[in-house]
Amino acid sequence: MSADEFQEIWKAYDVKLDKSLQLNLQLLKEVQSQKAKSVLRSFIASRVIGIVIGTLFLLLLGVGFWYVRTQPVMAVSFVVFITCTAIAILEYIREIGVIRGISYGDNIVDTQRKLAGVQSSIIGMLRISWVQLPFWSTFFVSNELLQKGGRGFLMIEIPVVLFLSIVAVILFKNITIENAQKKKWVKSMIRGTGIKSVSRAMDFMQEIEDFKKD
Amino acid sequence: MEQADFLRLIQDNKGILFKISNSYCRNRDDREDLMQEMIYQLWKSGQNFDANYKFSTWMYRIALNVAISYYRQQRRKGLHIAFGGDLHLMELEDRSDGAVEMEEKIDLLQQFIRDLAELDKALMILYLEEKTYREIAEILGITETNVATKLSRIKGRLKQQFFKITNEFL
Repeated sequence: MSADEFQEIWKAYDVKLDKSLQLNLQLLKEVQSQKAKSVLRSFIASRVIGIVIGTLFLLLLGVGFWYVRTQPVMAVSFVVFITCTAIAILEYIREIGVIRGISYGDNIVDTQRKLAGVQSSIIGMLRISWVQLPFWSTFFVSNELLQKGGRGFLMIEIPVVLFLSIVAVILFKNITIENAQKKKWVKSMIRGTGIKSVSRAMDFMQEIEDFKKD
Repeated sequence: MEQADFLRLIQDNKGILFKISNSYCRNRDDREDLMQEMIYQLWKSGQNFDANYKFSTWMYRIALNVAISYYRQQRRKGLHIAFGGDLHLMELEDRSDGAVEMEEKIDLLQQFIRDLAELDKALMILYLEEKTYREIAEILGITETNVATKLSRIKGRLKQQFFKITNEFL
């Protein structure tokens, strides 16, 4: 079979469709008037929900900070939580901007890369969330606890904080889109979050890059 | 774009929209959903259509972009507009003209296209639609050389598959 024969078969398919495919114009008008819920719109809705929840959490953290502002260790921990949450909210706002800027009329590789890029951006969120890790072991350390706990408390607390800091740095450095494709443990860790759409988006990003190669 | 122009446009291109949705979706409900989404996006984007571009290039870009995105989202809930009763946007009537061999080849070709990766599928559809390498490159956003290389690889694979199946039946 020659390659052009595929085009002949496709033409025969055209003829068949011309004869037998009936378009319901009345329903077509309905599609235009009823605003069909688009894939992009549902993505934006999920981001808006994220922003609302994030903002409420931010307010809660703000109140928490107000109460612990005179306790240095607790206050620093809250500042880190507040900063990370604010970054996440800003990232969601940026994603909405990117999504709104996507036009299906642009070329396919660029459009799909932008879409997959936004879906994979949750990896950035994961990185930021790990930055907070050591502070989960310090946010309850009040001035009183420091004084009463004495050396015994510090001997436990300092190694824990150091250990969690090292883990946080390693994870922050390694959790990247590139590593998600190169390093197995990073890939399984991201898949382990249960966010299937992210791993699918990452695979698709790789497919796009391969597709662009000659 | 006026509604009458838009309806004429969809009527003229119903075949390609059907073929694209058929290539990206296996079952009828998914195909119907994808058709709705493609038509909605074409209507929405029609207001921003730049007359400097070739119309078909623009239409293929939108239809294929929607199809690939839809395919990857695996049919989200709430996307479907139910028309009630047994009404469908497009109906494919059973009008077999007796050319059984050709029907089988069409089915086989559709099957092969469905099995291709998402972007390869788009490339193959554009080739079958007899778009030039330049147009394909413009729609997909890759180089003409890349189009040629990939097409020759995919066609080679298709030929092998056709040959294998045809021989199994002999």
